[in-house]
Amino acid sequence: MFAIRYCLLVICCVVVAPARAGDPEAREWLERMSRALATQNYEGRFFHLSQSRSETMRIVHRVDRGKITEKLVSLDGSGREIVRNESEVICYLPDKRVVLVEKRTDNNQLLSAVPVYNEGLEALYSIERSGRVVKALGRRTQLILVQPRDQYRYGYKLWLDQETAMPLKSQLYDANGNVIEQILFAELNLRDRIPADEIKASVSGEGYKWLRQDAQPRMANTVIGWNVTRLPAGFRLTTWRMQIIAGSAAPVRHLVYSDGLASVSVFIEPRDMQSAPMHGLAKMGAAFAFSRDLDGHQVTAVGEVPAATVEAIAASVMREGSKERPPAPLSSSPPPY
Amino acid sequence: MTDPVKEQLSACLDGELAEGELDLLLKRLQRDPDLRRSLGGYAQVGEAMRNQRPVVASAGFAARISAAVAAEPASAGKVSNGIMRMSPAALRWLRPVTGVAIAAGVAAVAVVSLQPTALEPAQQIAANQNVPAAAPVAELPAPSYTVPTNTSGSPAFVPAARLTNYVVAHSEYSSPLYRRTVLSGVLSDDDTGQGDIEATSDDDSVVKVSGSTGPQP
Repeated sequence: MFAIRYCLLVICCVVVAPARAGDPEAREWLERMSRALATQNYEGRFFHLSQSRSETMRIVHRVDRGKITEKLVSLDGSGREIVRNESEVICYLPDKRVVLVEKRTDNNQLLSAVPVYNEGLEALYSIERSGRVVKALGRRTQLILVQPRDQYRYGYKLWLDQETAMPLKSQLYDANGNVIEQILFAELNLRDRIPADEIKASVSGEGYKWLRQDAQPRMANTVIGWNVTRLPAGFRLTTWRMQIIAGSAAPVRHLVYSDGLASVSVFIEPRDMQSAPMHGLAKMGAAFAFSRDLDGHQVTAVGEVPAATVEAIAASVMREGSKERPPAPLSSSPPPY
Repeated sequence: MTDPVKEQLSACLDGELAEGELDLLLKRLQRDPDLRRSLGGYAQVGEAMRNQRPVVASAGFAARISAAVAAEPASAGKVSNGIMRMSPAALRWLRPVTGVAIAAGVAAVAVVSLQPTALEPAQQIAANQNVPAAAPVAELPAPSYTVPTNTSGSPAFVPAARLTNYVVAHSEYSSPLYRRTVLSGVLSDDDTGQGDIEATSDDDSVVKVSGSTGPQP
């Protein structure tokens, strides 16, 4: 009996340990990609493909003294554009004659949003390199596979340029291996410098309806008052703030949870008693949202994660009870269900 | 509006209000049309300082919310062939009237596909749990907001109307790769071809609702 147990132990060590330690070089590639995305000036065109549609986009990405500004334009039909300038994210929707403006946070670098590809991530994703050389956009690329270990997050396949580590092609897929969407560059030009003018929108928005939230969101330092009691494994609270969001009459609590790679926002606002509560699942591109009515509040979880994840998170949002009871430590949240 | 309330509002926007006070303030906001108007005023100060063309605030926003809601109950959207259209009055209700902008998502998406066969949320979680291989994503059409029907019978347009706002606010907290994905989703034309229900439509019924206080609930 002892011998059998011992054997099992050895087998476990042999099988599990290398799997969790992962491939440091694969992670190093992802770090290189992160650095490239944060430091390179580039412009290009890519196809955004999902199950039922394809769209051509143009991207202009400018880095000036560490500050990233960006323009994303739909080259098909709608002519929609998104400009992320120094202080705002501006969505021009010419097909609807509407411009939506959201403030960017003061904290430009947003450390919480920059993934850290450390060993901890290996508990949630397996990160591997493909041995063979594959080409994308006519260039040699390193293929990196980021595979989710459960159904609460998506995986990535990334074709990173051998020379610059820029992603030339990327596929988002679910735990089942189904590709949800792809981004496929048709053209990518790295440039030394990009003039600020190129980030400006090509539509003026003149005569459009401008929807904006003007109060400057700040990082908050008070208690949140709300908690997510049963987070899917690996997700933890990274930041939160009060903000005004277009469409909401009162300031909204915005809590951000991340597993180190994917993130989920939880929006909590007092419910407008005049209207019916929002309830259920909604989808936009690769993002899912799940809404529910709780204690006179509207709770909505939004993220680039599977439907099950936003549902599980929205379902376990709780209002913190008495002041004496400390909130459950988020870092040691139990695994889901 | 009294100065303490003003201070509270300001502290709230700065995220510096104690939890108990915040709750009181939010409850008060729900009750008090004047206070909501002030919130719009706060927003416009920022606008004026940037010397940009302000969104003109018309008076009686809160009153008109009530009016619009009274005139068009929650089930105002007409469901036919699985496509739900928003009534002009409902759109008007969601339009920006104060400086606090309202529901850009309305403009982005005014049509919601209903998915009659969808599971109830609780069942769906259970299903995902039992069958980890289940791929909810694959079951849903990508380009449109798909709202499974649910027991509450709530208007599906509400999540759709707010989704753009939430998704854009969320995108700032996504990693760079995910942000590209998420924003591309915002850019993708929903391709509904339902030009008649854009937020910019300005037909008579809209004017009627906005121009009077209307019946109170």
